[in-house]
Amino acid sequence: MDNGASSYRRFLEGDDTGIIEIVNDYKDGLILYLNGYVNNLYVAEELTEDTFFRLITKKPRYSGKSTFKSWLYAIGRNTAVDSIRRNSRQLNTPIEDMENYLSEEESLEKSYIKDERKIAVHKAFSALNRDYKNILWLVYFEDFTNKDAAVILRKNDRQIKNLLYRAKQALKAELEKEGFIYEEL
Amino acid sequence: MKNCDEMVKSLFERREEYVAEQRRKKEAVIGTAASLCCVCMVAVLGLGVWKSGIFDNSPEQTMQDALYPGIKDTFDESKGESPDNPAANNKIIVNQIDDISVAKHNICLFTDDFVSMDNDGLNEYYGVNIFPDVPGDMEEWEEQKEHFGIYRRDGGKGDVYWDTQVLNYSNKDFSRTVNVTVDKGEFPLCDYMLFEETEEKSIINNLEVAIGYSAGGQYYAQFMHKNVGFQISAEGLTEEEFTAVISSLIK
Repeated sequence: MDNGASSYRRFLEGDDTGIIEIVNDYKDGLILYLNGYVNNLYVAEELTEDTFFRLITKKPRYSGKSTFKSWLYAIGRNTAVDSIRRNSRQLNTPIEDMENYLSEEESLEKSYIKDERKIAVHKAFSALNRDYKNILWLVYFEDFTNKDAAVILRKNDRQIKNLLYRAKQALKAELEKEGFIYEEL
Repeated sequence: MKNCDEMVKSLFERREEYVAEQRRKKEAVIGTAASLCCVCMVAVLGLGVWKSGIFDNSPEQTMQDALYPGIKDTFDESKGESPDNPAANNKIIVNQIDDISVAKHNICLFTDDFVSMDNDGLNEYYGVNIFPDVPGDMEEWEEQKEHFGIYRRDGGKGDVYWDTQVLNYSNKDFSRTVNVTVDKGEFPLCDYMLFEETEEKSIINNLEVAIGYSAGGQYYAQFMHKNVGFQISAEGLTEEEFTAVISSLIK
């Protein structure tokens, strides 16, 4: 059982510090991951809050079949997909907020990703399609195994391998356009 | 953007609103139910009075004739019982409730509790065939078979506390997939609600089935068959193929 699971268990037993720990540990990563779905950091932040809100109100059962983090990310993904289907959120950021938006994005990237080269790679994500962004984020930035990524994205191992291969090719092409070589890909 | 403290504060505020809203709804339901109960009680009392024979012309009954009919009609004065002591008529019945299993509330699965099963074993456990017939170009995933089984307490010997199975089928390039999830006695746990229980139901082999089609091109179905909850999703199938998959499970 990882720390998130024990925090969640304590929360279910009535200890609210459990959910505070979960928010502290997973908030930033989840925002950046969900940003891959909605292309708007503010909406991704709302979706992240909605994901935690689901946890504290619906209290879904965590079975332990996957890691707590991949379970949480799967709920986040469902929340994002649900939101996109309902199309109830405004995805466009007003022009006047754009400067502030970019600096917030940069600040979040710096605090969460830390490594400058990885930040540069992350910036190249914007040109990729949603599936590629999501798989690359999960495997290269969150260090999920293929199996965990399969749970989150509801695909099987072989589908994940194929998707990852195609995503890497697309990212390489994108980075080469910018004259950037990233040997870890 | 919010920092962690702000997000936690916002979450707790939203939870308070949510709980208050739920409470309001509950009170509204209770209020309605109470009104209905009052109406029912008046009706029952009216019927009782009518049936009690108060309007009969027969001779008046004495206390000794019919004292607390159906509850207690003899009193042991040495134990303090008497017709004037209502407590002597108390009747406490504690019923055994079998529907709520404490085990089902557990959120952790222990590998020691896992009891592996093959296809026949699973069919026998569920009391119904859980393996669908899928189109000819699709195959069952071999690697999933190692996960077939249930979790029983006490190292695999006690009560069952987890029995969800996930069955996957696909064609060679995974452009066509079928996913079946089953659970005994209830619908499989799902953190994503597909159906609201208000949708119009299909009828397949005399059974009600909720069927949906998403904008993403996926079919979904949900039904209870012989006390087993089924949830099915499929991609790349025609409507006829999808209903044939469902039909193969309801025989």
